[in-house]
Amino acid sequence: MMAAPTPLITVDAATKTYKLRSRSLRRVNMTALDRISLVINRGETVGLVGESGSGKSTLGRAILHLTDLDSGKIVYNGNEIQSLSESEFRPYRRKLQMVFQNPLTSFNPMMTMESALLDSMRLVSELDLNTKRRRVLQLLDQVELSSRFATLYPYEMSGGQLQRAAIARALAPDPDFIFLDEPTAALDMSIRGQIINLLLRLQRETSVSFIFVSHDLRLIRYIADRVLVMYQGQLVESGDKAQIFDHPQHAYTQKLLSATFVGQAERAQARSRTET
Amino acid sequence: MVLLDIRNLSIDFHVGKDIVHALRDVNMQIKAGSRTAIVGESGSGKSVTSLAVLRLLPTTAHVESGAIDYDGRDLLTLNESELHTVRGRKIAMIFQHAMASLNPLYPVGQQIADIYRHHFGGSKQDAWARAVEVLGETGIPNPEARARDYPYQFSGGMAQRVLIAMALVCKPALLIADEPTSGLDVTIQTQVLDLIERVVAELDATLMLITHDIAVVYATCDRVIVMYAGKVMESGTLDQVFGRSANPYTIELLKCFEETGVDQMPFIPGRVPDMRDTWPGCSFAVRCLFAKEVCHQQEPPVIELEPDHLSACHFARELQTQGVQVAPAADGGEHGEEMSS
Amino acid sequence: MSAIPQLQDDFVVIRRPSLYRRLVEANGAWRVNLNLAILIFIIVLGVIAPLLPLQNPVKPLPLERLNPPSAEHWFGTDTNGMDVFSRTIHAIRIDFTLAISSVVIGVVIGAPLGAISGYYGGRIDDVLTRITEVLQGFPQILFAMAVLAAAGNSLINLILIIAFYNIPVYSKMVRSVVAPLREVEFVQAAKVAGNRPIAVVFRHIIPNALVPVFSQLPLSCAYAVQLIAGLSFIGLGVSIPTPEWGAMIQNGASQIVFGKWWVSVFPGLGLFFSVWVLNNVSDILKSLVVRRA
Repeated sequence: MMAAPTPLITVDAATKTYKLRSRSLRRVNMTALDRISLVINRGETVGLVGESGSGKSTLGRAILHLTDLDSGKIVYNGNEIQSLSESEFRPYRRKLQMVFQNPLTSFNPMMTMESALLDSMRLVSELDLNTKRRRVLQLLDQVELSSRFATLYPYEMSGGQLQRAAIARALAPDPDFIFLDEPTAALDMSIRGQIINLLLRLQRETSVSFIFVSHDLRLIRYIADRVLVMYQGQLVESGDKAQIFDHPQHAYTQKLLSATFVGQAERAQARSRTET
Repeated sequence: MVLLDIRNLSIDFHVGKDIVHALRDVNMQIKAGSRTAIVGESGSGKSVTSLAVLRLLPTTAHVESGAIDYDGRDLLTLNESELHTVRGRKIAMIFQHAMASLNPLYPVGQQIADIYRHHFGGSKQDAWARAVEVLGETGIPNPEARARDYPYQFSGGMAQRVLIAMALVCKPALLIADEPTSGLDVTIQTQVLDLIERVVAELDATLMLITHDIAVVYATCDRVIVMYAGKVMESGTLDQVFGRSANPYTIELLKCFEETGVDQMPFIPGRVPDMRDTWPGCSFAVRCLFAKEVCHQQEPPVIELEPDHLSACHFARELQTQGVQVAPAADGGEHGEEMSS
Repeated sequence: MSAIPQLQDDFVVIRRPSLYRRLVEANGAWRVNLNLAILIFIIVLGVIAPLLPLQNPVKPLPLERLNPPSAEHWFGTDTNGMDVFSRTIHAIRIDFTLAISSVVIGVVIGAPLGAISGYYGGRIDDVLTRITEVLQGFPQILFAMAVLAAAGNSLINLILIIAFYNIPVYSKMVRSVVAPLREVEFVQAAKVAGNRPIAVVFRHIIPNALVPVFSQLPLSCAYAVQLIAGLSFIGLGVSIPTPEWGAMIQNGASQIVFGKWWVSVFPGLGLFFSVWVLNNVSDILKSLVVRRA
């Protein structure tokens, strides 16, 4: 499986500016994406780091055709998809999937898990309904949920269970790419590991590419092959995980790293020195 | 000396026909001058405890039993006017959502000045000057001008500084901070924590910090109280609780934050119990790797391992004397060196 | 490989409470049972009215005008000598049919309009919102009088007028529920799944907007019943000899001063109880709107 990396998604000079009105009713432009260019290879996990408002979610929404770009190209599998209309893009929908931050609001409260997963397979025309039903159970099994979860509604499940179901839902139409938008941020610390380990296993078992967005560099360190750092709409740093963690170049990356690991270790040490 | 003594506190929430037992016989002591962290996950009761101290519980909450002694008085028996002399003046609080805690209709300086005048009186000019002074102390650049700004003109981190300024204007003896950094970016979190620490040191105040983040505890606090499912699991100094943990929940929780190898991230299997239920044994037993028969049947006693170091576990002593070797082989004992220091 | 999963770790058996249980929990068994029983009783009475051994509701008996309640005529007779008891019960049929059909038409047109308005927003929303505001601006009775005078005093026209009132009620209500749903993540997820916009609206958004609509339905019916009766009272809508509460009240209104109270009071009670019960049922259903966490 370790062949030369083949690009799956190429983003070229993507630019997006939101026009907001400030309280004084002046128009304010907010640049969410500023000439972002990046490549996501088949089967790799890219960690995407950046403070809130740095454009991480906008990037994901643009790749998934949930938002338009002002300029720039997004090429999936050799096809330019950014300029397509919604109906022209529909054939690509099933190949590009997403897991949302809040598991409870990302499921329709009126649908059981089975309906939700079947709905996610609506563009899978090669399978009949009975096959899809069996696939729902396989998918639930794949994310370590028993088959009885198929009949449950979202409010009957815990956050961790729902987020596993959300991953099953994203896997259902057999995608090439899943955008994971802070999938553990709304979960308790003690169960975040379940989701991370599940993703790590899927990474080994399938050839799906992930973009994993997180504030938490610890999670990125577990899960990412490569790390992208966004700051105020720009891609300020990208590289191998080891390179980013060991030799951060950009000032923001350094600040982020020191705020997460180094600083805390040093502070804790300093404290134990002063107190003993 | 104990500044805040919470004894046998049980609080229920009546939600429709359901009764949620949010706090179940909680005992904790906050020592004067300490920086105490209350650590727990959602549903652990850590926020309910802090709200109970300030008597800010919603009307659905019912205090079933217990007392909260502060400075020799039970806060739960104070009437409204007595409460006003304590709230804000002696005990101040910083909330998670800084922006939502500020009144959008008034300049922040005025909001701070109003609190000052409410407790100390004096002229408006003096109060305003004091407001500008505390804003400056929290590291807000150009405080004279910023005091006239409205809350929406502040970023999340700056709004949190305003809230801290508001909390410290009356020089409180106890500062309660409920998840003060969880909505903020990582780089700003550090700044806010540094500020809280500095302010507490300057005021010679006591800090009670509610958090779910172990890293925040390491960075800011010297004492820890670990809560789970409405009960206190373990308490003691940072070194005792995190360095020589004597409660399986603390041990497992710490593992989740540890830097281990890369193939697996540690987690605690299972889920937190439904807080409407009651059970005879230990709350953590169903998720606990060390659980024995007795854990499911009897409520664990609170064992004092060393002065101050308390753990609610049947096997607290065994856990500590045998270190982490009690851990079954299944999880590889990968946390050995961290615990045995 | 096997379809039988091994991991049953944290599965909790959940008893899903029935709709009825949830209603009882929020409102108390008495309130729910009493009001539902009265409503069902009224509707069943209307449905089986022709099968009951009642007197002919539209047969005038010229020799028995304005007879007081008696063993033969339980509620007495009206100015035309028709049996008030039979007419009061038969009136359920016409009043409820008119009310329900007009409300259903209003919902069927209004709810999708509101959903589209709320989901797409922007220009479409602006236009639809202005139109509903104009519709709601008409004084209702006056408008009904004008239309019935111009287009003819038929039951179909009456139904359409009341439906017309209900369209903006439901489009506004659905719009207010749908607009915040547009940005909710499960709607985004539905798009990612490949739902066409129309499927997003009908499969994912409208079902979630239905609870407030259902709780409003009885209230609208109550309002429609009042409106029908009101219009019939002033001589529009339904007229004698068709049994209808409003027209019956009108028929007896001039007799009350002569002590012949039964002609108006019994249909009045029918109207009052129906509206009261429908209002209560609406209140009871509203307790479902609060989503269980």
